[in-house]
Parts: sequence; structure tokens; C-alpha cells
Amino acid sequence: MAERASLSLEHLTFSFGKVDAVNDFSLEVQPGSFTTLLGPSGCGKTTLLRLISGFLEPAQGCVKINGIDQKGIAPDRRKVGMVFQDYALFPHLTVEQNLLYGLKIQKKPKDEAYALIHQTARLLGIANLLERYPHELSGGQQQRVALGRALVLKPLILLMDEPLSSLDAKLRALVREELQDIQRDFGITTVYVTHDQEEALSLSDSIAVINHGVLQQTGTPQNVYFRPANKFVADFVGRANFIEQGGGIKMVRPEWMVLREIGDGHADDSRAATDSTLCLPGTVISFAFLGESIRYRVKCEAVTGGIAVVDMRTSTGDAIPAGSSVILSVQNSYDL
Amino acid sequence: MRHNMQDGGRLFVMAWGSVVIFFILCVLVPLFFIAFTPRLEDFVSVLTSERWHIAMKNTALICICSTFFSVLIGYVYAYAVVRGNVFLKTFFSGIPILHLITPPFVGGLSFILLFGRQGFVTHTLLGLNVSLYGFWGLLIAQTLCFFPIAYLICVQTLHGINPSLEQSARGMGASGARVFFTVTLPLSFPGILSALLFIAVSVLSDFGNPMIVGGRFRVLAVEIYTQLTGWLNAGVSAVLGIVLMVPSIVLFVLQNKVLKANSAKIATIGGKTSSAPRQKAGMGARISLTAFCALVTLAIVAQFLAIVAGAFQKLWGINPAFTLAHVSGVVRYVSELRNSLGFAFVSALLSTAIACLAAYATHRTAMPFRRSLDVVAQLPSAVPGTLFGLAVALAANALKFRNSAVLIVIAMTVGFLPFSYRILSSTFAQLKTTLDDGARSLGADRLHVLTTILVPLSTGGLLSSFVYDFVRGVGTLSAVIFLVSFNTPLASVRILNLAEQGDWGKSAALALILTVVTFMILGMGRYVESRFKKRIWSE
Repeated sequence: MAERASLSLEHLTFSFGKVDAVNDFSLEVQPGSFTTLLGPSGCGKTTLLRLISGFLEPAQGCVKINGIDQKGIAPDRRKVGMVFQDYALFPHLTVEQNLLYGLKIQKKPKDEAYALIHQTARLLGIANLLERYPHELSGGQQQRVALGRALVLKPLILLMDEPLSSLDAKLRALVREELQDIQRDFGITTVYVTHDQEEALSLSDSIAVINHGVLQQTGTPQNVYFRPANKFVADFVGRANFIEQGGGIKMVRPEWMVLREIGDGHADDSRAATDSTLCLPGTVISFAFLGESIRYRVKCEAVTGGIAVVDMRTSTGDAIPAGSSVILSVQNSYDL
Repeated sequence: MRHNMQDGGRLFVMAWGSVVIFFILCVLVPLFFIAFTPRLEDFVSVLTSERWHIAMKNTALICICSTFFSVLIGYVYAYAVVRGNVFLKTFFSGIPILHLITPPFVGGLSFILLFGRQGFVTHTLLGLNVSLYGFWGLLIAQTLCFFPIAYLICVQTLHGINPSLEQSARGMGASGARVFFTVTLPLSFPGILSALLFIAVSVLSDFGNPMIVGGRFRVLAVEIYTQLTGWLNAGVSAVLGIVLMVPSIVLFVLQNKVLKANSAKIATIGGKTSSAPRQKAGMGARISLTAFCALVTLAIVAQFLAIVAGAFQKLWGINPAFTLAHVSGVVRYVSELRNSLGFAFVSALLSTAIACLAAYATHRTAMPFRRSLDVVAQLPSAVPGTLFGLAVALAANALKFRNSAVLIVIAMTVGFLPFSYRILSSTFAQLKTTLDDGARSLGADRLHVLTTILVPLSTGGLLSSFVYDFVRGVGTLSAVIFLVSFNTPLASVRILNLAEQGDWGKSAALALILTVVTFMILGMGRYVESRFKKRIWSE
């Protein structure tokens, strides 16, 4: 198994011309951990990957692997493996030759190289594909070959740039779970880039949320979801409603509210008022059936923007019709 | 496959360094000498003498006319093949390509045999005692010579026009002709413009055709040559070259602008060819377009036939008896053949290799000087071949370098560079840059990325570059005419000399053998490519 390396980014700054892509960015990545850089497209997360891998050199700050500054070390000498969004498999080489590519450059003895390839291929479940060319593989298989190609070299750090984005939704969920298992098995320090918050929440040990090249928050997925550092993080990681109250802003997740239809016998204003929970009047605009829950859009003056989003679990699929007057009772909230 | 990484990195820097030095020594230094050869009075005499005014006017006139007709024929031919649904479509689409890989002297020589004073058409068929040498002859020869290039550019443009645009116009009730004039033609304008500019530069610097069939109709490209050989007047010769370069550079700059604008525009009209069935041309249009293609094809086939017939006839136009004497006499020209093929081969290889390195370094790395090299690599296309040959001769003379074989190879290599550079740049542009990054992250240095990833994935572009360079090298006259010496005779120059002396049989026989050998070498190349291609992925 791979050596568990630490990675630290210290005050990284990089700009393309006048546009700041990354600004005074610092991050500690724990050895063997799975860290995700999460942010909207154009936030600088791919630039960060290219700074770590050595394709770009920072204007200021430094990248340290195991405490060693990587300045001036070319990408081919950094021991950083990379899985690209489009996989970048060499189309003129078979799967085996693709896996062999880096080992050949390292001049590994042939038998050792082949043993390594076959071992990795077995672990990744691609041992039966070695003779194929990349265009003869499915998206998920290509993805595993790309991963294997990086892993056989036993890199200190593994970087992945939105590796699931070219898979369809169902396959994406499947590969996501596999990816997590593989990373645990290999124990390799991994930095993963995505703009998909669901992917980030489900995969990571730690998430770094980035906007406009500036780090917004780092923490465990739970931390980032339940205790966002600011409005941007709250809004980008999951859906959020904001309620301004007494000079502060409360964040309320859609599943933290309950809708009660006025006049259906279950709810009456007097009982709500006596509870300590916050109750807000509103009108249902529309709803969408999501399977396990129903997502309502509710007109509500108290919520920033005037429209609240509320998720209600359902076992029957019966929804409160549009136009109904409702009371939103806030079960839980977080003060930003 | 063995590769020491550190050496590989250094090797790439060294390779890049030698490319930069090659460009400085072999492109910029000769041009520098040309600029400082003429004295002030040479400029004055050129700009005031009526002789040169006529040559300038002639050059402008033939440039406009030949360019116009080349593009007209090229576009109509392309339309016929791509959209016109002509009969024998596959056959007709191959003819311009065949013509493009035919050494250029075939055109000039066959013109003499067909339309000269003893020409088959002018003398034998029509019984006239005239020739078509001069403006009209040159117009026909150049049009036939350059239309295949226009054809290639226009085919690309027409393929890029989404047929559903034409169908929707049809659906709104427009007639076939109306669709053509309101949709297809306007959408072809970028391609047509690009073809016009490209061919105008080629016509300006064309030397072979006006030399052979121009007669008394003098153009600048030829005058550069006659001034130096006839009058040993290098100053005037250089001034004429510089005068010729002015419009070439203007056209060259315009062409680059158009190319850039085109790529932006094509992105907005959405070039993807939909799988919807093409609109069917009417029967009348089909028949007339087929007749048009047949006529052009006939003209091209007649050129080949004239060469073959000329090679086996005792005395063209006078004694048509069959003879093998001319063909068997080619043995005398073995050194010419060997030189021509050898120099062309080496030059094609060199220019493809240099263009490959230059295209990789300028477009996919951050090496120093890459921006300036991008310009310098394309510069020779704006320098008329005769002028560049003269420049190399002057520079070599000043530097006391007298190896004519090396000078010929340099002149050819530089002449071919712009084409090779362009074709390889666009070939590389089709490969995702993540392939480079992927290889780099697996430990490959730059040279390794080029040799193990880009080159194997670009065999098509590399081969096209080599083939086109090789064919032009075999037939080239303009760039080398000042550089051939007693020790380095060239077949193309010998064919010209023999034809000028009226030794048409010998000239045709030599041309025939050279063409056959060229085709054989290309055939071998095709075979090698197809062996390679089998292993290459097709997306």
C-alpha cells in the first residue's frame, strides 16, 4: 500500500492576467485522507489541482508534499498522480499499455511491472480488459483504467478532476461508492475536485468550499452542512432558506421546516403561537414530487427573497395543493 | 522506449534550440541579405523603367484572373461533388487529389505538347501554326494547376454547412437555385475568401508555369530569374523580389485574419453535418454539373496522356512513329533523378520534422520564442520561391558556403515549412491537451510526450505533410533554380531545359519516369500508413 503523504498548501496565489484565480489559499490535507475541493465552475479549483500537480507554478506561496517545497519540480517528477475529467487515456495504446506507460518511463523491470499491473487491475476489476483499446470500454471502465494508470506508480498524492462528470446519473452513484472503497484500500492521500455538493458530502473526509479563488470553509461534511461559515457555503452546500431576525441571519434547510395547511383541523394558530418554534404564514406556489419527499415552493414574506423551499417526507405522495394557505413551522435553524 | 528522463528534458530543450537556430540561419539570415543587396539606384531604375511597370501590371493581371478562375472552377467542382449529387461522384472527387500529388512540371510540359507551336490541339488537330504561349496559355495552365487547392478548401467549407439549413430554406418554398444563391453560396464565402487569398499568393510566386508557357508575357517571378541569369543584375533582381513580396505579405496577413475570423464564425453557425438526407439536386443540374466535372477531368487526364504520348513518339507533331528511344535514354539522367528524389525526400522529412517540433512547442508548451516562431514558420509562404532561392544563393555566396546539395535542401525545406506547420498545427489541435498532461503526470518529459503520444496519434497529418512536400520537392523549380550546380543537376530543371531546347521526347520521357517513380513512392507511403492506421483509434 502506498505511503501516506501529507500535503499542505500555504498562501497560494495565482492569476491569469488580471483575473485572480486563486488568492492566498491555505489548506492542510491529512495523510491518507480524502479531501474535496468544492465550488462553482470558475472558482479556481482546477487551477489549484494544476498548482499541486506542477502544471502551474504559484505566483506566491508554496505547495509542500511531506513538508518538502515542490517549487521548480516539473510535473513529471512530482510523484503526483492525476485522473482527468475526460480520463485522457492514450487512444492508441491498449489498457495494458496505458497502465504500463509510467512504469516504462521509470524503467521498472518487466516482470515486476507486469506483476504490479495485474495486481492493480485485479483490485480495480479491469483484469479482463487489458487487451482492449480505450474506445472499446464503457465510461465507468475508462474511469477505472485512468485511476489504475495513476495508482500503479504509487504516487504520494492522487488528484482527481471531476472524474464522475462524464458518467450518467445511475453509474455515477455506483462508481462513487467504488471510488471511496478504492481510496480506503490504497490509503492514498487524495484531493478531489467537484462542483457537485452531493458527491462532495458523500465521498469526503474533509471538504474545502471555494468561491472566487478564496477558501470559504474547511471541515467534515457534517460540519459544512450543519454549520456553514457563511451564506455562500450555506447556499452552495445543499439548499438553504434565510430568515433575517433581530440583526442576524438564520439558515434553515428545507427539511428543517414543517408545513401545516390552515383549516385542515390539524393546525391552529393559537397552538403554534404557544410553541417556542418559529411559525410563519405562507401560500403554496407549487410542488415537485421527488420520490421520498415532496419539495414545496412557498410564498413567505419573512424569508429572504420571498420564497421558501420546504421538503416534506411523504409515504402516501399526497401533497398540499398549490394556492393553499399554510403555516411554516421552523424545527431547526443555524445562526450565521 | 528507453528514456532517461533528465536527458529527455535536456534533449527537448536542445531540439527546440536547434529549431530556433535553423529558423534564424535559414530563414531570417537569407532574407536579411536580400534586403541589403540592392543599391538605391536599383530601386530607382525598377520604379521608373517602363519594362518593370509592364511586368508589374502583367503580374497583377494574371494574379487576378488566374485566382478568380481557379477558385471558380474549384468551388463549382466542390459543389458538384459535395452537394450536386453528380454521377461517378467518388471518381470525380479523387481527380483533383490525383492532380495535387502530380509533380507540377507535368502541367507545363503537357501544355507545350498540347498547345505549343507543334501542339497536338493547335497544330495536329486544328492545323494552326500558332501557339497559346502568353496570357491565355498562362491563364489556362495556372487555373488547372491551382484549382485543386481551391477545391480542397471549398469541399471543407461545404461539408461544414449544415444541410438542414438548406432543407429548411427548401421547406419554406425556395427553389433549388434560390437555395443555392441565398443560403449555400453566402455560407461558403469564408471558404471562398480563404481560397482566393491562398491561391493569389501562390499565383504571385508561381515560377514554373510563366517560365514555360508565359512566352513574351513577362511576370515578376520570372524577371527575378532572368535579371540574374541574363544580366547578372542581383540588385534589380532583389528589388523585383521585394516589390513582389509586398502584395504577398498583405495577402498573407489578410488570409491569417480570415482564417481566425472563420474559426470563430463556424463555431456560431454550428458546422456539424447532421445525418439528415441531403437535398437532391434536380436532374438538369445533375447533368450539367457532371458534364462540368467530366470536362475538368478530361483536361487533367489529357495532361497525363500528352506526357505518355510524348515520351513514346519519335518527334512530337512531326513524326508520330512509336519509339522506346526516349524512355531508354532516361538512363543518362540517373543522377538528375537520384538528386531530385533524394533532395525531395530529405527536405520533406526535414520540414515535416521541424514543423512537428515547432507546432508542438508553439501550441502546447511554454518554451521561449514560441510566439515569434509561430510567425517565422509561416513567413516563407509570403516569400516568392524565386526570391528565397536568390536569398539563399546570396547569403551562401557572402558566407562562402558552396555545398549546393545542402543549399537546395535548405531552400526546399524552408519553402515547405508553412504548409507542414499549418497542417501539423491543426492536427495537434484536434488532440486534447489532457493527453499531454496525463503523460506528464505519469512521468513523461516533453520530448517523450511528443514521441510516444502526439506523433503516433498524428500519423495522418504527418504523412499528408510529407507526401505534399515530397511531391512539390520533386517538381520544384523556383526555389532551386539559382542553386543547382554542375554537381547537383535536378530532374525538374533538366525537364525545363530539354523542353526549352525543343527536345520534347526526352523531356516527356524524363517527366514520365519521374512521375511514375513518385507515384510508386507515394503508393508505398499509403501502404505504410494503412498498416499504421489499423492500430489507431477512431472516435
